[in-house]
Amino acid sequence: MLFNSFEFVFFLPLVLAGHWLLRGRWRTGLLLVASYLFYGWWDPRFLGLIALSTLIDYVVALGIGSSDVETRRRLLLGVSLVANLGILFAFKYSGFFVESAVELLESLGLEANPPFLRIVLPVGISFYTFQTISYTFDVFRRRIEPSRDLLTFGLYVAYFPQLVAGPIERARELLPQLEAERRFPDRQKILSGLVLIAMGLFKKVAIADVMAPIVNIAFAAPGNQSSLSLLVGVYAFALQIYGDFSGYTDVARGTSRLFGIELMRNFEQPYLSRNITEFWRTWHISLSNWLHDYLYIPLGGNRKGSTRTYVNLMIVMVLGGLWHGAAWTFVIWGFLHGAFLAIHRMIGNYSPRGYQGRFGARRDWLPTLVTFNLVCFAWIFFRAPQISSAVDYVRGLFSFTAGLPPTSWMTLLVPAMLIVLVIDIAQRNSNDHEVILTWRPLAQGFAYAVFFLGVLVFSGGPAVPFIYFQF
Amino acid sequence: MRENTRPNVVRRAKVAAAIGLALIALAEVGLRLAEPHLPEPAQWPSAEAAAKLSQIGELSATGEIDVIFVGSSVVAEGIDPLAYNDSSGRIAYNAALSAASMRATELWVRDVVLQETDPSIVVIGVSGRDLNDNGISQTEFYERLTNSPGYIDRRKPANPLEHVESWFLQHSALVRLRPILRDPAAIVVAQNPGQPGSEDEPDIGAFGSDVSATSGPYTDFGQWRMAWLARHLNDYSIGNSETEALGRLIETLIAHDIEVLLVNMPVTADYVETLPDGRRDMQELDLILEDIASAAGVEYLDASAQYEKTDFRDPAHLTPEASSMFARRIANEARVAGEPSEDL
Repeated sequence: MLFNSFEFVFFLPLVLAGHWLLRGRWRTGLLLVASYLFYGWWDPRFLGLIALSTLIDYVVALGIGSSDVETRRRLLLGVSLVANLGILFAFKYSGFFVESAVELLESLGLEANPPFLRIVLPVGISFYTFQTISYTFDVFRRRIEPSRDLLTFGLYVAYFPQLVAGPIERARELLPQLEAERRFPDRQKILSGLVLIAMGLFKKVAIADVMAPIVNIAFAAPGNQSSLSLLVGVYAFALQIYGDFSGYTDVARGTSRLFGIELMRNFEQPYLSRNITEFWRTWHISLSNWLHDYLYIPLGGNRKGSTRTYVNLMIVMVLGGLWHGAAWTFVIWGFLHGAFLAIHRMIGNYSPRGYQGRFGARRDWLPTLVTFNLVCFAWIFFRAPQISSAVDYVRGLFSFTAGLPPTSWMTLLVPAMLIVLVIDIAQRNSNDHEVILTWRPLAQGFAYAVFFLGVLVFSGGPAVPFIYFQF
Repeated sequence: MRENTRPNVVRRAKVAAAIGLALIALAEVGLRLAEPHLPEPAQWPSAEAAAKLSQIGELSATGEIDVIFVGSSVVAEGIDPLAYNDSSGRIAYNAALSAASMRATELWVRDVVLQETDPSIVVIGVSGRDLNDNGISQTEFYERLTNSPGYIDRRKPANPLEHVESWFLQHSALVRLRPILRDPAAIVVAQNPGQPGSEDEPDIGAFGSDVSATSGPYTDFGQWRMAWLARHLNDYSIGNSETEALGRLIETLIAHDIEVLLVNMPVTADYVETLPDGRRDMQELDLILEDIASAAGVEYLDASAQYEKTDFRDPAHLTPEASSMFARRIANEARVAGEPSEDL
C-alpha cells in the first residue's frame, strides 16, 4: 500500500480509530495486523519473509541475552547475520552476481548459460533487514536487553509507517515507545503530524513526481540533449529523489506521530550542506548512522591511522552504494562519495560537529553550491540505468553542446527549486521541521494553499511508487 | 517539535486554514474567469483514438464486431483485420492504439471499447515495450488518455475517490484544467496547429486497419534504435505496473465471458539486441506472459521469433504483407469450437 494511494485514505483513519479505542496488547496486536496488511497489500507472499526474519532475531537475541559464554553469543550472532544477509543476498543480489560472473566469463571467451531466474525483489527488504540486524547487534553488545514480547518485537520489525522505506529505527528508540501505554496526542501533536503529512505529500506529488518526466527524458537519451538540458536533468533528479524520499519520511513521521510514536528525523536539509561530510550527516541519516555504527566502527573507524581511515570510508560508502541496488552504477555512486569524503578529510576541513546550524550568510552559498554540484555529479551514476549511459551523460554534460532546455522544464524546475529552498532554509534556521506552524497566519495559510493546490493539480493519475521502495 | 515555543499554535493554525481556504477559492474563481480564453483540451489522447472510437460506434450500431485486437502500434500495424476477417469469416476490429502501454490499453478496453461493443474474442498483442514500466512514450500516452475529457466522461469510477474526482471535474475549474496548469507551456503548443494535441486526420482504414504502413525491409536501424532507446525502451524494466495491468485486463475480459488470446508479438533480432539484456529480456517476457496466461487459463501464442527481417518495416513493426499473413495465423489460433476457420 502506498501513502499516496486511495486505499491509504481509508486505512489510516480506520487503524487510528481502532488503535485509540483499544488498550494494551490489543493495541499492539492491531498495529501488527495493520502493518502486515499494509505490506501484504503489495504481495502477501513476502509476509513470510518478514515473519521469518522476526522469529530468527527474536529467538537469537533471547539466546544471546541469556548467555555469558562469548563463543555461544558469537555463534548466535553469526546465525542472525547469515540468515538476514542470506535472505537479502538471495532476493536482491543473487541475480547481480550471476550476471556479473556471466559477463566476466564471456569477456574471457567462455560461454556461460545459467538458467534464467526471475526473482521479485520484496519491497523494503533492505530496510527491515538492517533494522533487525541492528537489534541483534545491540543485544550482542549489551546495549539493550532482548525483547521478551514477540508481539511487540514483531511490531518493531514491521511497524507500517517506516517498514518499506525507513527510517531504519534503532530498537532502543522504537521498542520502548511500542511497549509503553501511549497517551492520546494533544492538539499540537496532531496538528504537527498533519502538517508533516501534508508537506510530505506535497513533496512527493508536486515536486518528485513532477520532476520525473524531465529526468526520464534527460537520462533516456543523453546523447540527444544539449549540455544545459543535461544539467537541468540532473538537478531535476536531485529534486526528485529528495522530494520523494524526504516526502516519504515526512508522511511516515507524521503518521506515526498520530499513533503517539516518534520516528527519527531522516533528513536535515541535505542540499544546504557546506561540505560532503555535512551532506552525509543530513542525508538518509538513519542509514548513515547504521553504516557508521555497524560497519565503519567495527572496521576500525579512524582509530587505525589516516590510510586505514580512507580505506574504511571507501569500503563503507561502496557497500552503502550496493545497499541501494544490485548494480555497478550504485557501486560507482558509493565509490564517488567515498572518494569525496576521503578527499574532504584529507584537505583537513573535517568538522566533527553535526550539521552546521543556521544557513544564509553570504559565505555559505559558494561551498553549498560546490557540495550540491558534487552530489549531483554522483547522482548521475545513481540514476543512470547502466554505466555506459552514465558515461554518455557525463560526456554530454561536459561537451558544452549548445542548446536550451525546453521551456516547460524550466517552468517546472525553477518554482520547485525555490519552494524546496524556502522550506529547507526555514527548517534549518529554526531547527524545526514543522516551522510552518510558527509562521504568521497569512504566511501559514499561503503555505497550506500551495500544498493543497500543488497536490490537487499534480495528482490525478495512479499513485506513483516511492523511489526507495525498490531498495 | 518545540511545543513550548508555540503558545497559540492551534488558534493560529485555525486562522491560517481559513486563509488557505479563501486563497483556494480565489484561485478557483480566477481560473473560471480565465477559462474561456484558454484552449480546449483535445477530447481523446490522439486523433487515432478518436477515429477508431467513431468507427467502433458505427460498426457496433449494427452489432457486427465479434473480435477485437488490442495493444500498441505493434498490434495496430501487426494484425490486419481485413485479412483476419477474410480468413475467419468473423468481423474483427483493430482497436490498438499507437504509443499505448498496457496500462493505457487496460483503461481503453475496459472503459471505452467494451462500453461500445460486445466481442466474443479479444486478442491482446504484447511486446516488451508495452510492458516497460519506465517508458516515456508509454507514460505520456497514459497521462494523455487519463486526462482526456472523452475518457473521463466515460470511465467508470473505480472507487469513491474517483466518484468525488468526477464530481469535481464537472464543477471545479482547478480540477478540470489540471493538464494546462501542470504545463503552462502547453497553452502555446496547443494553439499551434501541427503540434501534439492538434487533431490531424489519422490513417485509419476499414475495421481499424492501418493504411500508413510502409513496406520493408528497413535500413535505418541505427536511427530507430536511438529513438526507441530514448522513448520506448528507456530504463527497460518489466514485471510491475504494466504487467499487473495486463493481468487485470485479462480478468476483466474473462468476467465479461470473452475468450482471450494473448500473443507475444513478432519482433526482429535487431529489436532483441536493442533490449538491455537482449535474449534474456525476451526470455523474461516469455516467462511472464506464459505465467499470466496459465494463471488466467487463456491461450498464449509466442510469435516473437517467427518472422524474418524482410517481414518488418522497422525492427518492431510488421509490413502490411506480413501483417496480413500474421492475421491469418491469429485467425487459426483464435478459432472457437463450432466456428470453422480457414486453415493456412
